[in-house]
Amino acid sequence: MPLVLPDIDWLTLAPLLVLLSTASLAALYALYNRSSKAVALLALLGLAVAAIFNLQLFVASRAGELRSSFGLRYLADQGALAFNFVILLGAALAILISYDYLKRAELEQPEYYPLMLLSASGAMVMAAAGDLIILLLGLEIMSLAVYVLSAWRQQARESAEAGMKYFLLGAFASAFLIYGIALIYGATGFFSYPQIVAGLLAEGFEQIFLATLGGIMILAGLGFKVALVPFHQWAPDVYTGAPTPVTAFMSVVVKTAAFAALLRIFAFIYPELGVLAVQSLVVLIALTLIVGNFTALVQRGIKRMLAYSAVAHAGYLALAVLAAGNLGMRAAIWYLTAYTLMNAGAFAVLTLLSDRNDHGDDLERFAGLARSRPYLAAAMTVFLLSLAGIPLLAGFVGKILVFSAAIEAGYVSLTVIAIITSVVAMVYYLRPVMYMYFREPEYEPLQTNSRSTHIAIGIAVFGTVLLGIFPGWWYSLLDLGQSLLAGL
Amino acid sequence: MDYALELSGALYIALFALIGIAIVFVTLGMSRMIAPHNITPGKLAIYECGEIPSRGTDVQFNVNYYLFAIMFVIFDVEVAFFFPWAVAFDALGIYGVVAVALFLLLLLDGLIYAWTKGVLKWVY
Repeated sequence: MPLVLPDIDWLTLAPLLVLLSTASLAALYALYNRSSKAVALLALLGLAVAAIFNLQLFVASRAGELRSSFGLRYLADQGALAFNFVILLGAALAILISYDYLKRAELEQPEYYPLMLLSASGAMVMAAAGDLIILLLGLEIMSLAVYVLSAWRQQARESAEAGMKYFLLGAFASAFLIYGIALIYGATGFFSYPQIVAGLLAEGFEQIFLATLGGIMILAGLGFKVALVPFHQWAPDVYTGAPTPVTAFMSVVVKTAAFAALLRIFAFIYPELGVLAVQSLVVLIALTLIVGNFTALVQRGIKRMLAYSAVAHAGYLALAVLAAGNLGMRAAIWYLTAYTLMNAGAFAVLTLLSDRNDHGDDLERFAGLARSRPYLAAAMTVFLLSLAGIPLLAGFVGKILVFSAAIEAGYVSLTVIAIITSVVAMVYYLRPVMYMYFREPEYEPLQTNSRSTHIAIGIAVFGTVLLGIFPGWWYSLLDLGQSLLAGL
Repeated sequence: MDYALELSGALYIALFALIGIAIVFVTLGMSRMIAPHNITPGKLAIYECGEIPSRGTDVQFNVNYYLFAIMFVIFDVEVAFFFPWAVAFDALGIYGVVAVALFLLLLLDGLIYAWTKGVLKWVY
């Protein structure tokens, strides 16, 4: 029997391979030189080189040259490449925030940075996956590194608990995902998306039913990663317990990757499944929007508030998943770009305000910050207003795009719920702003400074404002006119 | 599809399950009734290839066992991939060599890391 070898396109894999080899080299380097600075710089360099390769691929794909590797299993179409940019940006911001934070918290171990790169490379695999097995591989590569990172503060109970909780529930979610994949494979006999679609079109009712069940399972597994209600219970504890830069990384990169995977699956497979699969997502979104926003309303700690806000934002993003296809994909990528900037920025400010044990992030700490640390207060205000969706900032445009995509797809009542809950969200986003500007300080504010964190905050503020005022250029770049898989 | 036929299929399975369960009880019950009972300490002892337990199960293990187990997996998985490759060596050609070399390189990376970290040294 002749063997059919999959074709490997090395250029397609280049960004991924760069991250992978940088991570392994950095880990080896860390054996002999315990200087975190060198390893962190190496990691940033790796991200930059990966971004350059990615840019080259992106430009080529704009010109109509669509690449893929391993058949159609690893795609480098415009959607995947745009997601890669967001992932690389999120990872770079997280590393910048981490450097001085880890030093201050006495958690400095150079292995931290290779783990982050590995996790980012897994995220890129997820975004590029055109096959359920590749998707699973990417998910595990990404998750395993994040499990370790979230327990980085070994001595602290909360951090150990966060790591444990995330690991156990993550394994549980993986089991769901694998079961779903198995059911879809059982129904169609294929793993790769185009073949599954072809298989589903040819199958009878019973097979479709099995595959629909599988689709719901996959939704549950990925819904866990993006923290859709009711799969969100881990999120507040893990987000609060993990070191703040890791929280920033988790809320940004992991979410981007899982949504990238979800969007692609939804664009291809779900239209062929029974309506039950799509309806269950509708229910999840409604729950997420309501529970996420209203629970965030009653939080006193800013970190916990941001954790629930991350849950709520997963709900807005999932609206774009419902409208999967060119419009939904564009809206989601745009939203995730904005979300990465503003959310990572907000967590970056938080690292400068809380003490070295990550305590003291309660609302009272923000009182009078505008007077004691005016620039920091201004930056935080920009991020919070953007998260709330105030016009002229990136978050607003993202919401508009997502909402209009959802309405276009016919989910009007769900969009109405989203709009109402985002008005509710104003309250909890504006409360810290009010504390910063209109309250007398109750504590002596910490005078923590960090050059790398300031750079990260600068990038985030610049990006949030730039995308808010000039949203068009990025959106027009995201026109996913051509894709390797039909239908997207 | 003839429904009666399908039902009879399910009936067979149920019957099979029932008989399976019954056999367990019957054999255990028979041996209990027929076999003589005179227990000596020698008979209750652990079979000759087993270890005599020294204490309960809630003891703390040396973390080195855990690290060794992980290191074992490195070599174990390596072999699991090498044998199929060796069998299909001719058919895979240069593609197989590159793929396995990459795989080996990644494993070696982990091994060197663990080795240098002193995982292979037993700490008491």
